[in-house]
Amino acid sequence: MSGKRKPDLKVIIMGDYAVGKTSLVCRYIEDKFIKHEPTIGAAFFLKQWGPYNVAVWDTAGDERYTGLSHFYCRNAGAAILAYDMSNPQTFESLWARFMPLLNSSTEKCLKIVVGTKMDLIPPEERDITLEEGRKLAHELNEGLDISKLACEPYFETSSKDGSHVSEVFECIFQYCLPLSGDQRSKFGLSTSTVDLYEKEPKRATAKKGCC
Amino acid sequence: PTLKQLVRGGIPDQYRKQIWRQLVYSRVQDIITEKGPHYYRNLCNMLPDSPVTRYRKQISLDLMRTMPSNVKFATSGSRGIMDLQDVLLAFCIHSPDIGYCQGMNFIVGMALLFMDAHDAFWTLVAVTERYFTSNYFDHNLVGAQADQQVLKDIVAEKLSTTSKHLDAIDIEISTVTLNWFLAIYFDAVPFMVSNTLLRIWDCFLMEGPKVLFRFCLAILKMNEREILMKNDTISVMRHLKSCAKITYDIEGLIKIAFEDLRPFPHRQAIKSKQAFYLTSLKEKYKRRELQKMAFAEREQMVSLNAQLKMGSIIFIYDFYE
Repeated sequence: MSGKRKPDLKVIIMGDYAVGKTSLVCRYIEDKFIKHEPTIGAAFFLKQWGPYNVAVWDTAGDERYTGLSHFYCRNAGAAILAYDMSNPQTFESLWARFMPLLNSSTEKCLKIVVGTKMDLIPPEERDITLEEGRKLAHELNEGLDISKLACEPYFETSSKDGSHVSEVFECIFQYCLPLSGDQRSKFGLSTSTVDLYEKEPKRATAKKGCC
Repeated sequence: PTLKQLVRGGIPDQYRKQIWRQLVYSRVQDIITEKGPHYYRNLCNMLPDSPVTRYRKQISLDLMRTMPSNVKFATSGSRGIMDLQDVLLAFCIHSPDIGYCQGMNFIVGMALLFMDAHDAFWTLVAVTERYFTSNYFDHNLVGAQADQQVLKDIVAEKLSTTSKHLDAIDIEISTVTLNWFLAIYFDAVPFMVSNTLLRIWDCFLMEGPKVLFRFCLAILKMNEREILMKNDTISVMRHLKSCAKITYDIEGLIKIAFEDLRPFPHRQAIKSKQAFYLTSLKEKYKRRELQKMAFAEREQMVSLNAQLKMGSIIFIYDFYE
């Protein structure tokens, strides 16, 4: 561990209960998919990003824990707002529940909206469209210059098969703690920046019916 | 030795079930007398058409992830899962104001390892209404939050160097310890290898929530040296999170908790601190609630105004038509 006293970046993950917040972090950090116990209070993860230390705070989904979130939101550089793509209500919650929290504490905080459980819902059955997701993500970042963001502030992921999970985190890290191409290769990170979502998302992974 | 001392020494495995039951029932006897002996069964009979749907969904989402590695709770149709569901739903009918809160699933799960559904229900009632105050699990968890502030005071008093160190590196202890209190150390300390979790539960059921403070301070004290040696937020946070998980030395922990930490703040002192923080938290939430209502009202006025304008435009339009 370096001599630094505080993490270089704090990322918090918020969203309704059981949308898969912990699974998302664990897929990224441990590259595993396991069913998790409900997080009560919050859980803390650490990730090395080049020379930097990133702290990832995974918060509880239960509404009652909302009152405690100011502890976790304080000084957060980025927030991942997760919703379950197979449950549209969890998308509504991002507005109703989590926006007010972020507004008051962290104006400069980058907000990334992340749909989870993409593997559970066939594209034609989804209630929230890609456009709606992106629209919310842009609205949430109003007043923040995200022109340097290498990707859309919106992702659709599956922690089960791992799709787009690392892109979420790397996009955030690259925005908040930019690394040059040289630095990236020095620390063994992929040198291409993430731009999967600049084009239309590939739907090849979402097979219909049985295989 | 007194019963308290015996329990601190650990309830023998073969008696744990029986003694836990007795400790729980001694706390809720008056409620049982009032509600009748078949109260739990009656609540279960009411389940099919009771309006607890708000919690039903959340409970069902938590069932399979309460004790996923325990065979009793591993499959969705298993007895353990059905009992867990019934107890949590029955509790929502029993106490609609509190309802279901994540964390209760662990408490009931633990109880079900040793008792049947009926006893587990009364354990949850005892924990939420008798061991803790009923605002512990309320909609803002004010009781639990107040306890965390009390904890900070006790840490400052008993482990002042650690307390200053944590302040200096901007660590809010409750981000780690809130769970320890709310789920009575479930998933915080070892269960299988040493009996740490069961021994904490023995003392909790016997003596009440004060022991939660004692054990918390004991864990911190056991790790004081390592915590003070580390100077950055991340390593200290990491250490705090992981140190409890490897508290295998249960005898050492008990000794620190009940002997080395003497003199520990008195029950009455803790109570008055709790009351003080509770009042200020309640006021804070009341103010917030009022702000919210004022905001909603303003929003409504705005939309009403907009509607009125729209109305008049339509009216004019109709007129010209």
